[in-house]
Amino acid sequence: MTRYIIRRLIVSIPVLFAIVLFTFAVVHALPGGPFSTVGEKAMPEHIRLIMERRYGLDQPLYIQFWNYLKMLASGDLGPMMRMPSQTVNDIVYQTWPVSIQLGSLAVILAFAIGIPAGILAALKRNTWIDYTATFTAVLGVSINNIVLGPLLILIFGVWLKVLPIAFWGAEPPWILGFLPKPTWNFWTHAVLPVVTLGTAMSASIARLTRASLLEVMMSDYIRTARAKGLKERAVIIRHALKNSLIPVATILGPLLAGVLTGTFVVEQIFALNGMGRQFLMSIEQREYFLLSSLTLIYSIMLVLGNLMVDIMYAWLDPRIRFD
Amino acid sequence: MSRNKWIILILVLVLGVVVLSACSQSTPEVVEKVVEKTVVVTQVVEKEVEKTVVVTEVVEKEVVVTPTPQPEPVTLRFYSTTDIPTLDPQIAEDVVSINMIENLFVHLTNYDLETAEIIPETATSWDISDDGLTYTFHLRTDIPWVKHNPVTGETVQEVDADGNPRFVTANDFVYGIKRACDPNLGSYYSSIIAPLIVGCEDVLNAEDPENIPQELIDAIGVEAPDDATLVIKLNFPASYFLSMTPMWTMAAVPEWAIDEYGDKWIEAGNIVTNGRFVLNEWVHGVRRTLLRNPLMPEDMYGTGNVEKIVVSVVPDVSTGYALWLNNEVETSGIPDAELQAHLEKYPDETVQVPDLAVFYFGFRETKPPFDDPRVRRAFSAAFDREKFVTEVRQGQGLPMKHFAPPGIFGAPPIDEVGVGFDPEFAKQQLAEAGYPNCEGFPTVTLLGYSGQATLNWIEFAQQQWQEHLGCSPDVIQIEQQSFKELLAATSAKTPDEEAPHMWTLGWGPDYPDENNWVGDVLWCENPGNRMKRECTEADDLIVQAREETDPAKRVEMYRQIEELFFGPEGEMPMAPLYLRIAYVAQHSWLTAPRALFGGEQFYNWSIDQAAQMAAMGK
Amino acid sequence: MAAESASIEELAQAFEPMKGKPRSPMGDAVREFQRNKLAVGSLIFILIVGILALFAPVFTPYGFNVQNTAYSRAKPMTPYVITTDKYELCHWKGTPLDFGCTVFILGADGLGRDLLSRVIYGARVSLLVAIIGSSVSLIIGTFYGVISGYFGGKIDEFMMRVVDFLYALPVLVIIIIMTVYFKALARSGATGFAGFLIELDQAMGGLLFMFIAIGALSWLGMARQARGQILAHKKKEYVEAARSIGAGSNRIIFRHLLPNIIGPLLVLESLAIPGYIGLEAFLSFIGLGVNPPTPSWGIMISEGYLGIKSNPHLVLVPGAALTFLTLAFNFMGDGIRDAVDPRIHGR
Repeated sequence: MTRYIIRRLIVSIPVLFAIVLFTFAVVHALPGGPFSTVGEKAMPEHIRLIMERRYGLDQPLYIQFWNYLKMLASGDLGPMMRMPSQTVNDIVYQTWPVSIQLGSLAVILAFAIGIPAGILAALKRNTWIDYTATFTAVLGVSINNIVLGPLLILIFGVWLKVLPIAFWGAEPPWILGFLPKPTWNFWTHAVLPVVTLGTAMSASIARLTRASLLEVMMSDYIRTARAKGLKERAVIIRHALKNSLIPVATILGPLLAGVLTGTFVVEQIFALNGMGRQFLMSIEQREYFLLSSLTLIYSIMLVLGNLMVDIMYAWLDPRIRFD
Repeated sequence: MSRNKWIILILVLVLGVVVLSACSQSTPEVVEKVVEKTVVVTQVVEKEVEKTVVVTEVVEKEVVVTPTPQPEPVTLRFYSTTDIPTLDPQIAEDVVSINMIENLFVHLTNYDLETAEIIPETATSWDISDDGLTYTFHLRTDIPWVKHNPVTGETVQEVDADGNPRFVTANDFVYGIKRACDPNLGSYYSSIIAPLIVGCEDVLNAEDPENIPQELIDAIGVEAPDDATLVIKLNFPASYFLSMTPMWTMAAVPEWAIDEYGDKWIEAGNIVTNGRFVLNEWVHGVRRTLLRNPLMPEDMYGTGNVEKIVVSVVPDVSTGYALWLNNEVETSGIPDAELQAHLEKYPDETVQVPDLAVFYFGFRETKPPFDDPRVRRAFSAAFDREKFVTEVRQGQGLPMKHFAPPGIFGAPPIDEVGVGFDPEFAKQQLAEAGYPNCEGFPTVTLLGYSGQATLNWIEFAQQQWQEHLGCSPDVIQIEQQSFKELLAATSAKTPDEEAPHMWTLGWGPDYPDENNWVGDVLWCENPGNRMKRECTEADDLIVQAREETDPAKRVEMYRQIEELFFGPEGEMPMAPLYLRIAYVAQHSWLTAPRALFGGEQFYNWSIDQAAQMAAMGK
Repeated sequence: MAAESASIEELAQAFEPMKGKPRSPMGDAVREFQRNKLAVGSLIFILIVGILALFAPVFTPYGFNVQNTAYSRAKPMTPYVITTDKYELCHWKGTPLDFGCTVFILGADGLGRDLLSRVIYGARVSLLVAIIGSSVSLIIGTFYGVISGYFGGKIDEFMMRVVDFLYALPVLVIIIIMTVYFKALARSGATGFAGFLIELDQAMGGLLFMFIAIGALSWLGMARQARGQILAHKKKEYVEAARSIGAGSNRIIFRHLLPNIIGPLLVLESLAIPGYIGLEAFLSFIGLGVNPPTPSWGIMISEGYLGIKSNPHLVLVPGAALTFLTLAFNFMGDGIRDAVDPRIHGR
């Protein structure tokens, strides 16, 4: 198992390398650089050249790339060219935890609502409970963040005035480097963004749980269990639930990775200082180092997420073994 | 057994929740700390000198104070759509940073909020030599350099190596201005002041920016004969120089702090300031908090009563406006789409704020068919500015027929120079150019930048040209790019094939003089020159006008220049559209005289705290 | 976001053991589908939207860019007055629907453009994305997966390594970067093939490059699924039989394997459609979508969001359109899956 994990991690290094190379090449190919504009004005030519030279942007791309790799190797994600008192490491420290907090809360919410709803719907199959749950779930999957976010702000923030509509209730310094201080302030601020992000997820988890449980209930070993004379309750709890949750549990990995990139809209609408917002900003501002580094971080998260799925799948399902 | 695995899995999930919520025990501590902070501040406000004593007192008092709440400082809350890139006066180039810098640092002179005249700030008076080449400023020397400690909440005056308290002197200004000439700072505004000050341009354009010879730096025409006198020498008698002296670029900065901390000198805890406020907190991307500087000389306090400023970062105006509706900020921009409803509901909580930015369509003069001035005139005259301002901008602006808006020295009255909207003239010009009723007109591109505001104009323009020129919308390809891409695409260096025919941009003033408009945007030798203009008679006049010392003559020359550009026979390198005037939502308890130039002077803003608290439900 | 949810479903499917049982005949599936009222209703809804979009000039009072700035942000059912030449532009002039020429049935946007017209024209973009996104994904993915699975060995290993590699890309991030790049490219005035693409893109209102960006990575799941299906089928007796009578690879693939595996692939693809629609709306929302004035629901929402407090209809109308269309595709996808896959239904 350990060997398998190590092998997977080693294999993913060229993938990450290629992603960084790709991003690096594409963003440098975009017209305009970090120093070509000043607010709504153009930067004078010679000053632009001086600043570009300071950050090595005048050198051939492969040298810039090599320098960037050397920087990465020493744990330095690069400078912020237009915000010299900060570094990319600072920005990541400030914003990554916000995205992680938002994302994990949304995932927790999704599981907390999705699994019970899915189980309930499956057990009460073809009753009004099932139909309501299923319909709500499909509706939840269908409503886009860009519709749900503004709608929630309108209802709870503007009309009812019961929940704050902007900001994240926590900020650096973080506990253990990524956890918020869980004050009342934090929880109230978290409600709307987390619900916006978590709705679609909980809906798809509910659908998945329902389908999976129904499938398991029809399998032969459940029939055997029933035939043995076990009570229905015992059949469900001891046999059906466990197996039906295997596919559900294994989507945790891609779910986390997906959610972390899915925070773009939520961060923008709710004025959260998260990584997605920095990513969009870095494209606009041509903060090459920030953009490349954020892409790298997203890729690493995805690689780890995928790895987590495989490991968890093997762990839950003894039939699978890695060599 | 796989059941155990399940239990472990659930445990992991639960643990995640627990970890998130378990730390809540630490909250009381935080609350206490906050209380402690405010205590220190009030203490320091009362006493100016013995700061070290204050600290020891506070530590003992802490426990006693907790039950009785301190009066809240008068707090001004608003937001900006971006974080500030810098607080360094010489580097700052965006409005948001400049707003902060205006309140953290004193400047050489100040703008009067009502008359827009130059009034004393650090300089109490000044003399201009008869040839207009030497400016001598007489400075006050009682403004202390202070450092604020965000942890203890103390504000302490800086001391030099010998232990003497530091006050702002002419040498600090000399250092600041020479620093502004340094090309390695990468400051946009360097190139605005460099052409004026003797020797500054030589340094800015030095061949090897990494090894600038000391002689060049010494030769910059800024001197401090004594602590209270600053002498600035100019290259030519630029009559608009005085109007530039309130600029942040020429502010005094603390050399010793910059040497000590490098790029990080502007961070909270490091920064040394001399203004009416101190930086208490800068949570990047989230918020910055300013507190009154208790050590400021009393006569510089300003007319306002604001003691604390909290500026949050809210990327979206729509969200910001919702915050305003909830009384969570004092003032906010109003999204266009909310304006009508806002004006009906809150007529008394609306103010009009002009920012002197003029928006225009630029024409590539070298790219056919816009190489023909008649085509440019036609496209400019076929845009109904009045209708645009009233219907699309909902009254937030004034139609412009020429470039420089009123309030700028040398700008002609708003309705006297220029053709403006004239559909008959437009049709006739287009016909003369060989495209009657737009027949045979080639496909042209109009480039706007991302954001709904410009999208509205370019779509409106498309419609206007169809209506008044007969040009089908298919002929005018409209596109949106990010702002950077637009500037790159329209740069004079971009070959004509890759440049758009037309684009939309705005110009906001750096200093209140016509030279900053026709001279810095349209002048043919200006390195920008997006229109790729050839030099003409107008350009000779631009050069003459900036050296002319007689104000009346200058006004007359600028009128001629505007006529040469935008009159019926004009070259029409751009189609000026409108002057932006924004409606701003502002709660009735805030009195906020707005600044036309430079940063907002928050020290002159006042808040009726009782009304504010009542609205917040406290 | 819907984009995520689709991929979750895909993944979950990927984890299910390969379905090796014989498929029920097509007729059964159709009958099964017909019994599902929600799915049939959704299909009808989608067809109606399709017809509306296709014949938009008939079903809308105005074109999508006819402005009436004096009535900007009019509320739904606002009557208004227009000039005769504006009236000339009305598609419904002189028909029984004539009243629609002077009433904003669903209101008007910031430039006084009829919202009903824009929403209907906007459906074109969403549907095109649904159709093109899924066809690109289906064609490339199936082709790739079939080749990889059928030939196996080194080829298979290499092709799947490529897919694994692409799978590790943060898709949304890459799509955003690509879209930004294409937008810049579109302005660069290139010639030759790139120039041809740029012109085509402009003619399509900026849709082409978005399709390329979306399509470039959307086929990965499909390729894996197709390969899995092929692996499951190629050892089957009927394939062996075909081979034993001397059928070539082409014949085996196209005559025997493809018809047998295309069902589940179609199901999978129909489940992915809402993802494409959501992705387009998202890209348009952050300003990377189609070129104005081409209406897209995402652009309309981002425009309307600025004024949601006093003009909620500017978000609600396109938002409802987007939600209902996605909903319909989801119901339809579920219906097809249930009909084709007899395990859940029919017992």
